[in-house]
Amino acid sequence: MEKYEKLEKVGEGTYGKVYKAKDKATGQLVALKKTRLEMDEEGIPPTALREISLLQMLSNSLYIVRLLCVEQIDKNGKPLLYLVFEYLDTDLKKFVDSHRKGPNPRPLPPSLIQSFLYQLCKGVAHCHSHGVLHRSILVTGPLCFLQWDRLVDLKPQNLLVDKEKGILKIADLGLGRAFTVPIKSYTHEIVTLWYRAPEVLLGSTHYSTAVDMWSVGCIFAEMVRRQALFPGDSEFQQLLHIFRLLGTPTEKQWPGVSSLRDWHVYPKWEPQNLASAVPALGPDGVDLLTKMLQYDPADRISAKAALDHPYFDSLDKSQF
Amino acid sequence: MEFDLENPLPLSHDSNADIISPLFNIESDHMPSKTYRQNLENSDFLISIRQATISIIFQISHPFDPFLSYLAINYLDRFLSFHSLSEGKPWMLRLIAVSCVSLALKMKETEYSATDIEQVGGIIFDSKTIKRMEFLILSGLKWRMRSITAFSFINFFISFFKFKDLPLQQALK
Repeated sequence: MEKYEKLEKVGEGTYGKVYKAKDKATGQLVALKKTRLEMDEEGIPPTALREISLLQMLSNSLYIVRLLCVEQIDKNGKPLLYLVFEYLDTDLKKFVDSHRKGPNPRPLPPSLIQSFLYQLCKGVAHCHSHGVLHRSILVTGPLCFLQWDRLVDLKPQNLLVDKEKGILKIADLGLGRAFTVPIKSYTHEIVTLWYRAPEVLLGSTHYSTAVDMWSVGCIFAEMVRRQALFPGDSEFQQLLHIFRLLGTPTEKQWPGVSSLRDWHVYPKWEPQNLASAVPALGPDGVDLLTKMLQYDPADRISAKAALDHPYFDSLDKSQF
Repeated sequence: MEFDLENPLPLSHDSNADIISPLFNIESDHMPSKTYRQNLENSDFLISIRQATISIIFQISHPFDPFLSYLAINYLDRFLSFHSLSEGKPWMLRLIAVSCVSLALKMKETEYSATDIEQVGGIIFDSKTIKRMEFLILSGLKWRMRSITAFSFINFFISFFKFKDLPLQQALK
């Protein structure tokens, strides 16, 4: 670890502290993530080994934050693992916030939203083609661990942004069980529900890659609106936010919805005009957003198909 | 989830995904260096080290399934191709072999214990030594432990064959 000079603490990740640091030899900026993983007599635990190697396999995409290396140090005789990632200067949440508040509030340029969304779809398509999908956070009890060991937690905080170059990358990938502590009790931070797909909220036990596309849709709308599309503070409120805008789902629209575990009888809202929620977005953008926010997961557009949507026709794809 | 050589990607049983092209893309990340074969041909020393270590790997991994030995040998070849050993002391080769098998076991088995590895042959390493060797191998292999090997492509290529004998095709699969 003498290779790196710690510059500042930049955050508390889901699995430990994150520092901005500099590689002393090359001057390269890196993000050091200290894992809370303690190695016992058996050396590196199997779950950690599998997850780091999965992360390493995924990080060959430009749209995934690159894992540069893994360092081991001995701290008071206890070995600790640091994951060394490439460093990007901000995340999408801070970036959008800086356009909403602060000295110079202004919308994000439409071409930037288009480019960010394209890069996000590229990254998600990459994860999906490697069999990695959304982290399914099943917090049902005080000691409930993540039950899935492959994950992308898609929310603006986990999308890192290079402001100068206009680059967006998915971060905080892959580290599930091995590093996970019961989420609530460790960070004392409420797990955000805003990007969670309705089938997850309704207790469906079979998820597909479509859960990520719902999150992508919410993030898309948030870049346009500069505020969250569905800012619920409980699972119930989250569903009501969704239903109020998109209408309460019916069996016709989404076969099987009323037999999902957490389905109740809800007020019957009529669908609102989605375009009114994203007034700054043109018809192609609204069409793509509509396809991402389909109730029936089977009807939702895939990341790969989204890349070919007419919304991106005006984007210079040669740069990607 | 255990690592499966025939299905190296986590959800690759998901039939609607185009799973084969990423495999081709990342295969080379999990192979020995390009010059490894040539180095082997030019160096009797390297060949003898490799053979000796492989035979130890077989010795200690024979209670497990054959994929395990295969995976451990993949790790060994990649390690040897990036890490030149100046001498081949028997204890060193044994330590490398034990560590490759231990890493392969961790990738493949849910329940793992170092004591699962029967350390025959006189030299017994303590867990701290194995741990350090494991880490050296992990760094050398850049933590790319989900090896993409020939096994990952078998089903793909079998699907190209047109067998008259359907049961044979099923059996091959």
